[in-house]
Parts: sequence; C-alpha cells; structure tokens
Amino acid sequence: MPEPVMWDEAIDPKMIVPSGDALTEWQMATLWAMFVAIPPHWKLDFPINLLHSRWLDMIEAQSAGNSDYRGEYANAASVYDAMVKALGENEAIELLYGKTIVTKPEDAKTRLGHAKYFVVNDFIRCFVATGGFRGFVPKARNYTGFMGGSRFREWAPVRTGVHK
Amino acid sequence: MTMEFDTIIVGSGIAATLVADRLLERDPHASILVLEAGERITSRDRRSWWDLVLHNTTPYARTYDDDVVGSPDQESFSTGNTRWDFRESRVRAYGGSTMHWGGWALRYKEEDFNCRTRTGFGADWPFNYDELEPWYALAEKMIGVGGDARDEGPWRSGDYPLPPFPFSANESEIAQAFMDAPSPIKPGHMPIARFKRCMTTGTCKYCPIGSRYSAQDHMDALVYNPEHPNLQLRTSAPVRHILVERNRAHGVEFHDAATGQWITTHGERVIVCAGAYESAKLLLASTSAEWPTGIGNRYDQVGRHVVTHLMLTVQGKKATNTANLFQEYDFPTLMSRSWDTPEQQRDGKFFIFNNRGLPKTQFEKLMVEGKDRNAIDDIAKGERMAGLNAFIEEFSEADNRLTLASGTGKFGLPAMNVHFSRRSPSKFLALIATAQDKLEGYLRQIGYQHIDTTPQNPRGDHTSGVCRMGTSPDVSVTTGDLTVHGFDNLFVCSNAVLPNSAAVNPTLTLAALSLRLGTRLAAGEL
Repeated sequence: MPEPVMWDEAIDPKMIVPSGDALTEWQMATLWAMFVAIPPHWKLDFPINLLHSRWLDMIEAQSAGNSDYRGEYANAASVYDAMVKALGENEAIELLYGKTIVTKPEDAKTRLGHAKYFVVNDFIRCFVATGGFRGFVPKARNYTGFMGGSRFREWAPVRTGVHK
Repeated sequence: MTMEFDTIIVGSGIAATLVADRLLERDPHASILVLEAGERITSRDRRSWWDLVLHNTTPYARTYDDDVVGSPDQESFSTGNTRWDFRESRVRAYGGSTMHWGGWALRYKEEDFNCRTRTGFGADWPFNYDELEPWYALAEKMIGVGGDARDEGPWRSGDYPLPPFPFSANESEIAQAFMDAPSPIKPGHMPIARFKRCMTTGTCKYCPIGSRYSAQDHMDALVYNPEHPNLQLRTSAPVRHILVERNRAHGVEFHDAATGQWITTHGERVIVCAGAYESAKLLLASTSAEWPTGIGNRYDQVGRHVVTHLMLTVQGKKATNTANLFQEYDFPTLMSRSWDTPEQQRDGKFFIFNNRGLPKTQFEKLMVEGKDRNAIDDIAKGERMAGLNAFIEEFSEADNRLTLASGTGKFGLPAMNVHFSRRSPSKFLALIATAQDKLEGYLRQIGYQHIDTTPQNPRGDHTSGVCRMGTSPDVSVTTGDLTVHGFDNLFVCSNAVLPNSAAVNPTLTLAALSLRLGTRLAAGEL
C-alpha cells in the first residue's frame, strides 16, 4: 500500500476555521504562485502581474468577517506545496486546475477538495473578472466585476456597433 | 417612553430621503425622525462586493420576502387565480429597494395620467403630466440620470442632466432590427441613474463605489451633516400603529428592537414612505374606535386596486458567435417606447428592453468546470443567444387587493395576502401573444431562431395602486397632495399612491412625487 498523500486526507466539507493569525509571507507567496499559473494552464497570453493589487484586495477582503478564508488559504498553500514537492510543479497545477473539479461545497471532502472549491475556484473567478477575460477575447472591454470602465464618455466602456 | 418631532417619516427609501432632503434644504434645523423597520446594510463594502463577484451573493438577500408556500416562515401569501410573486422584489433595509435597484429612471407618459378617461379602465391621476414635469426634471438632476432627450418619450423641459451610455455591439444589432422590422420601431437609450461615477463594473446589484443612486448614501449625507442637528434616523424600528385623533395624526408607535420597548413618538405630521405594501398595511393595521377598519379606510379602499406590469421574456439563438460577443454591461442600454403609446393604451401598452444578461459567456464557470482552452473557445464562438423583454401594462381592478394576514413576518412587519385574479385572462393572454410576436420578430430579423418565451408571474417590484390618489374618498385613499382623504397632516408617499402601473419602472415617478411633496411641505403650502 502506498503512503497516503496529505492532500487526499479526508476533512469535513465545512469551511476550515482559521487560527486567527495573519497569513505568512510564505503562504502569500505560495498562493500567488498558484494564481499566476492560471494563464499558462489555459494557454492565455495575459500579463497576470497587472492583477496583483486586485488579487491582494480579494485575499484581504476575504480574510475577515463571518466567512474568514484564512483557514482555507493556509490549507491550499500546504496542499500546493506538498503536491509540488511530490509531483513537480506541472503536475501539481494540472491536478489543481484540470483534473480536480469541485463545484458543490458538500463535495469538498479532502484537503485538495477544499483547496479547489474554496480557493482555486475563487482564484479563477478573480482572474477572469479583474481582466483575464481579455485573455480569451482581446477586443473585449468589459466583464462582470471588471473595474476598468471609464468615467469619461469619450472612451466607450464596451464594444460598440454601428448604432451608438 | 415618548419623543417629539415636527415630522415623522416612516421608511427610509428614496421617497423618505427626497422628502427629508427638501425639508432640510429649506430649514436645516427641521425636526425630523426617520423610522426604518430593517437594518443597515453596509454600503460600498469591499467584502460584500467580492462576495457578489465570486459567489453571486448579496448582503440584502436576507431581507427579501419569504413567500414559499407551506414554509413556516411564510409571510406573504398569494391568494388569487394568478400567482403573485414577492421574493426578491423589494429590500427591507435602510435605503429600501434602492439597495438593489437597477437605476432605470423612466418618466410616465402624458396619457398614463388619464388612463380611465382614455381606456375606461384603471384610474385617472388627480393632475396631469404637466404638473409633474418640473419635478421629474429635478428628480433626474438629483439622482443623476443619463439619457438621450431625442428618444421617444413624454415632452421634456430640458435635456437629461447626463448623456446616455452607448449601445453595446449586441444592442446595436438589435437596434438595427427594430428599424428594419416590417412595422419599424424606434430604438432608445435606457435612462439610468448611475452615470456620474459609474465605472461599469457590471455588478449593479451591489455597486462597490456608490455610483448607482442609493437612498442610504443620500440619507447618510443628510444624517451626518452637522448642519442638520434635529434629523434623527432609527433602524430596526418597525412602526405598528399611526396614532390619530379624529382627523389628525399625532404620532406613531414603533418597536425598538435594541431594547424591546414599544415607543410612542409624537409629531406634527406623519409621512408614510414605506413602500407600496407596508404603506397600505400600516394604514390597515392602525385601527381605532374612529377608524375600525384602518385609517383612511372608511370606504374600504385601502389595499384595493393592487396592480403591476407583467414581464415577458423572449429568447432566441444563432448557430455561431464569430464576433465572440458577450454582454459587457450588467444593465440594458437599449429600449423602445414605440409600443408605449396613446394608440396602444386601450389594449395595454408594452415597454421593450434588451435582456441585460445575453449573449452570455461565463469564462470562469467553464474554467471551474475543468474545460480546456479549446473547449472554451468553441463554446464562446458557438451558439449565441439574445433576448428581449417587455413590461406589459395591466389595469387595476377593485377586487384585486392586499389584506393583512395573521401574524408577523421578518422585522416585526405584519404578514399579508395579495389577491390578484385576472377578470379576462384570455384577453390578457392575447396581448401577451401580440407582444411575443413582435419581440420574436425583431430577433428573427437578425437571424435568431426563437427558443423560449416566458410570461413571468406578476411580482412585487413595481406594485402600485393600494393607496391610490384620486379626487374622491370612495374610489381612492389619498388626494393629489398625497394626504390621506380627510386628513391634513397624514401623507402617503410611496408607489402605493400611483393610480396605475403604466408600462415602465415607477421609481423616477415616485422621486418626482416625493420632491413635489417635500418642497410644498417646506414652503408651508400643505
């Protein structure tokens, strides 16, 4: 019997209760490494570093209140780190973004399931909404959640047609 | 415990805020108490905004009516032959329904003020459009409406204060279809109250930067202005009773959720700005020896004539989306009032607008589901959908009415029944079929194949009529001055007073009425 891997460890589907500590520098760096893997995984030519401040804003906003994500962030960083060490970066990313699909909270039954449902899925949504949609459609100007619309009407905030 | 104020305002939505604004504009020291049954929802909160972007949840969803049949928490009951929906149609919180509204700010048209005379159905207003026009103009200025004055609509004394949003590429195609149809109609720009600071985030259900007009933001600016020392706002304070002596209101009784106390407050005048449902419910619940069936209800008119406009949705599809279009706004900019006309009024007007959600490509959803790049590209460039919607006018009938149900629901507010039955369902279905033919035709014009038509149930969003204005107390509840018939210091200022629902959103009309009332009160004209 092979040694069970940590990311397959069964845990309650409920959100992980955070310790109350701030995320460490290492955890933040690991989470960012997961985030920047999105464009290459989907073969998108997109300058993801431009999204760093929006990504940080999301992490900070989610790290407080009734549904505090810090426990999930800490778990996801540990899961990714363990997978990279055991499988290598490419396979770890493939497992996170490609092979593991968790779309319902009740299906988040393992550490990897938690990382996918609570963290990776949000990273994907954050990426698309903050500008990543242009990776798929470079001419597109706007998307739900995109904060780039102009206050100045000289520049249309969306793709327009013949009739204005 | 008792308190005393010059003016007591029940509710804290757009009507309450604009009335208070006008009173304070004239006299910054005006003594005003605003009582809101619901709680404060944090506005412009980053976490709430991220919750919407990431998880499609809003902080005000918990304030919606519970209308699930059989639920132990059910507080709103539909009892007629036509299901009346309550859920998601109003926000019960500080700021009222402006906390979730789309900012659509349309004027009623001239003929809407003479509905009974022109059609034999519904009711006439006690005054005409010309009386309200200057107040519409002021309302548009105060809530920051962008629009195009060249579009079809009622006459205007001036331009919109702000320019319109341009049509998206998809809407531009549909605008062309309107013009190329066998019976062409004119495309217009949806007037929207969110232009000034709008960054088109697409998250209009919860604006992160407070650019869409919200009564909470406006009222906060009044409350926290040190020049208004006598303005007081209390949330979690449901009013259960208006106190009257003969034909004068002299205060209200409300519950203080923080202490559990019932508090009596005296005022020189009481203005009920509690939305259509709660305004009627409060009058009905305020019984006394002199008013055994509720204030202003001597002729059994309070709660009657409940009406709204039904929404029809039509969707079509094309095989391909080679331009890779998706809807980039979260609000429609394309609309048409070509069927919102005097000629159409007798049969029932309809107001056409683009489906704000189509065409739709949710890249994040496809990615979360594990689709690879090629699969996503194929889906994005594959089938393309478009949709048109219409609000279809219905006429009020006396037998359709709101009544109190036993018990209370959320926020200590009374439970209610809405009885809504169509007297001539077949006639109304024929009108829906007419509208459907037209909407499908416009989409067909640009190559869409019809896939779905849904006439939605009537909903509470734009409910009106239940304390309608009129000249006689035997067919109405309030006067053209918005006083309850027989009173000179008790007012209703909510969608409840609108005699008809017309075919367009009522918020701008309510804003105009509120500014007119507040200004006249401040000037001592009432």
